[in-house]
Amino acid sequence: MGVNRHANPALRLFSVLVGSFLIAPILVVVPLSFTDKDSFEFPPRGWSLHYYERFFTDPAWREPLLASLKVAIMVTLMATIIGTLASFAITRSRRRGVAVLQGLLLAPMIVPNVIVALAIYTAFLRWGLVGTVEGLVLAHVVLALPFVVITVSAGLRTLDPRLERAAASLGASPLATFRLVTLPLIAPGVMSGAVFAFVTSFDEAVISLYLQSPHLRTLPVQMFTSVTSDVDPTIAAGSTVILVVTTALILLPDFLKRRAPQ
Amino acid sequence: MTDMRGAAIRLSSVTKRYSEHQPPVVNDVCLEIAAGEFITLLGPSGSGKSTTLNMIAGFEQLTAGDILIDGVSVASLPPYKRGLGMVFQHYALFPHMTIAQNVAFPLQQRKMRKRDIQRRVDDVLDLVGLAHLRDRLPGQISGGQAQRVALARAVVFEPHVLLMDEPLGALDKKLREQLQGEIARMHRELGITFIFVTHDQEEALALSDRIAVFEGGRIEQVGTAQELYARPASLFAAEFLGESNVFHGMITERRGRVSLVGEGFEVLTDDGRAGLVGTAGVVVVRPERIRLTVGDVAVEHDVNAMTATVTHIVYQGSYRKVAFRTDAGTTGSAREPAGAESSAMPGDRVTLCWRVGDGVIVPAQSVPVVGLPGDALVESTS
Amino acid sequence: MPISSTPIMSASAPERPVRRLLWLSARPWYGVLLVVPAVCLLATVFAYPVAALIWLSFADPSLGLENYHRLLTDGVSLLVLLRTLRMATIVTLVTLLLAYPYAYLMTLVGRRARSVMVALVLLPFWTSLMARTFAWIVLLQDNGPINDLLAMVGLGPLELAGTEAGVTIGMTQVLLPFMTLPLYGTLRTIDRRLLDAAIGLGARPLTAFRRVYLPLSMPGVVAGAMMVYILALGFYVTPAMLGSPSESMISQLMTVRITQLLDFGAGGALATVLFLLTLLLLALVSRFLSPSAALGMSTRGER
Repeated sequence: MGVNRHANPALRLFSVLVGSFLIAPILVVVPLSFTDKDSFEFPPRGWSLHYYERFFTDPAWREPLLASLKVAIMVTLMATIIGTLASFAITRSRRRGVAVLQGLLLAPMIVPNVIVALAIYTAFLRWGLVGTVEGLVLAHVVLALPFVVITVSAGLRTLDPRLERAAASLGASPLATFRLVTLPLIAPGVMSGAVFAFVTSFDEAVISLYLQSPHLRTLPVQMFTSVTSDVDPTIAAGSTVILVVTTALILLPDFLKRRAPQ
Repeated sequence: MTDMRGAAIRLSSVTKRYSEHQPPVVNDVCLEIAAGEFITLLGPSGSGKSTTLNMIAGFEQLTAGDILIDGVSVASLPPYKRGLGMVFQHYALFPHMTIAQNVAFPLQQRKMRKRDIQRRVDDVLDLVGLAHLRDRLPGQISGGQAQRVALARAVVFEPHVLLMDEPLGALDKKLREQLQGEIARMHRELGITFIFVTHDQEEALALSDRIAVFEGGRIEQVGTAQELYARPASLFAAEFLGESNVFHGMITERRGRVSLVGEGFEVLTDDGRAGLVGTAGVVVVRPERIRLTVGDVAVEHDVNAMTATVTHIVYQGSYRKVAFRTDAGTTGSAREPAGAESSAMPGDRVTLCWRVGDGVIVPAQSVPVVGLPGDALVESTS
Repeated sequence: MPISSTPIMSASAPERPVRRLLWLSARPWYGVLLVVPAVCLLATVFAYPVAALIWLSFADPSLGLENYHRLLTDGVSLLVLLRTLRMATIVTLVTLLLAYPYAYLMTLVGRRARSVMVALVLLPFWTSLMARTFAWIVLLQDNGPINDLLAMVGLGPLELAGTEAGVTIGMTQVLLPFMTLPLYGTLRTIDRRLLDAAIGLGARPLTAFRRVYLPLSMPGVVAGAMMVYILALGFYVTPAMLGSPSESMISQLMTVRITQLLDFGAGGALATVLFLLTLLLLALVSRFLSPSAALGMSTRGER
């Protein structure tokens, strides 16, 4: 390193402030979740686990949590499978149309979410899919697909093509090659794609807001409603739970990779 | 290993073209490989040798032509149904499987019983002397060991043919020589057909029964190492294999003898290729065939003589290389074994002599004859 | 037996490719067909709906440019659009001002400090948007921590919750990682010895920075700025939660038009304008860096 003379104290102080700004929400949400008061007073004066209990037992929060989990798991399965297949097609084909396909696969990430959400809402109104789990899952898969495609294609591009040739030369059928060689080697990429898909769905608010019904309300929708209608620190408990779970999920592939041999 | 035998392979007018607008990568290659033979496809990169191997393996489609193994066309078989063993550049060991699992892989694909697999894997790991590494992962062993595992994996299912694509390219010189010995031993012991691709002429000379020299998508010449060295069919083959002294000129016939007439010199040969008479040609003389004498010398019958000046001398241990420039302007070198050196020193006037039978005539091909006919000494070693 | 003895065909006809049988062997297992499920899904649940919404802006209630005429004349849409553009511009500038020194320091510090700094950027990246926006409600409330801090230095109290200022602060925090990451990606590739060289040639440090370092960092600045700008234009959750309905942004107006008034034509027109703006900006970005690099960096948008 060495050239630390450029890092003058003012720059350091400024960066500490920026860092605090970045981390401030987390520093607020976590303590607030342990408050014993029925208000957003910060810092809290007394402590309790009351709002965690409420988050996991009150149907107004538990039902959305379960709905979110259910939708996110279905989205993860669908997006991972469809996205992995598509990644194979676009990384392995030399055909000319591939760039166009790739553009289409990544497009949901570029078009502003609010447009996608309203467009899907408009279409689903006509197709009777508003307020249905199927509709919500399909919409979330669309948003999650680009993340799976990006991570899995990255894994496929770094895969040594000789390994698959070697498997074929040793008598492995295409299916056996895929199962025994390709899939285990791209597993980390597929895994992070799946995590991305899960988090994408679990945290999605915009489409979920439009497609909600009294019977289908995901956790982000409940949080939105809670914040805009009343003062209920349960949302802080819920946020902390989500924070812990997503952070754990994000770190999981990295952790597994480090644990794995070589 | 029990009862293995090689398969005969025939390439008939094999052609590979990636696009209509580009010249073919492999152009009308015909090659007969005998059962149990060790043949090397030798050539510089881009010469089509690897593509040819990949077509035999089934990784590349043929644009035209056919490939037959024991008389049966395999051109439309996918690679996993061809049953050929293959050793890849950089080994291509499965990084997520142990050494034993890597070697067991082809046997599992053939639905062999577990107990038999175990035994065969042990046998073949013993054969390559790596039984103690069976539970390691490929990332935990050395390059030389990885290459042995790759070999073991490629022959454990007793294929009739073993294909090798630059298998030693990633290893250092000493290890390469050691593994060459092991490959030769395996070929003897297994008795199967080996097809070996390399750009390294020393490797080719050391290992092969026959060598096919590739250039520009075509086979320039096929033959044993001795044939290729003693009787190169083209200037490219001559210069790619070993060092050569090259004399450019017109091929003429005089008194029943073919000779090459250059600017200010004439070289006699007993090469009988009368078809080349009247064309521009080249006479190739290997450096160890040239005898140097300081000063003038009485010319014997059937010996070519030429006066030259020694430019410099390089000692190579077991021999020394004497570089010269002939009076006619051709540069070249002679090789003198240690203990039989002439007294020539740089700057000396010498006479070069070689027997008429030691010069080989090849067509000049695309090499320009006019201009400077010197500078043709190619140092293809190192 | 190793060598199959099924003679399929003898391909002796020259230049007549045996490709029909061989497409299975050379690139056997991954036909382009594998993309079909994804394409079907995206065509029906993404491309068609977006195209249909755009079409509705020209066709609902009647064919023509009526919706766009209304957009320009209804006295609200244009105002909201301009406000959105202004907010996006402010947020982009503020994130750039905050992110540039931060990313610059990241290139100077040692490994450990740098990984802490990276974590500080990535953590909010991964934190639920809903949770973060909620946190800003707590932080910005009239008797919240920010106003407490301001009171300590003798300022305030300021009304932040439900104002444009509050929305700007919240959006800036949410979007800061999208600026910091590409910026750091560019800054760390700059050879610092160039600065020393410039100083060695007689330039004053600040001049050296302005003439050498700043121009080299422009690709990162452009990438980050465009990313933040595009995301800010389409932001919905944060303004809806932190702002007030009277100062809504284009996404909120679209939402009201479509989900509450069922005025698909007007909503579609707004969506079309936002879509075109995004495409325009993306086209600008792609002049500075490859599209995939631009996309690869936006690993998480608002949701």
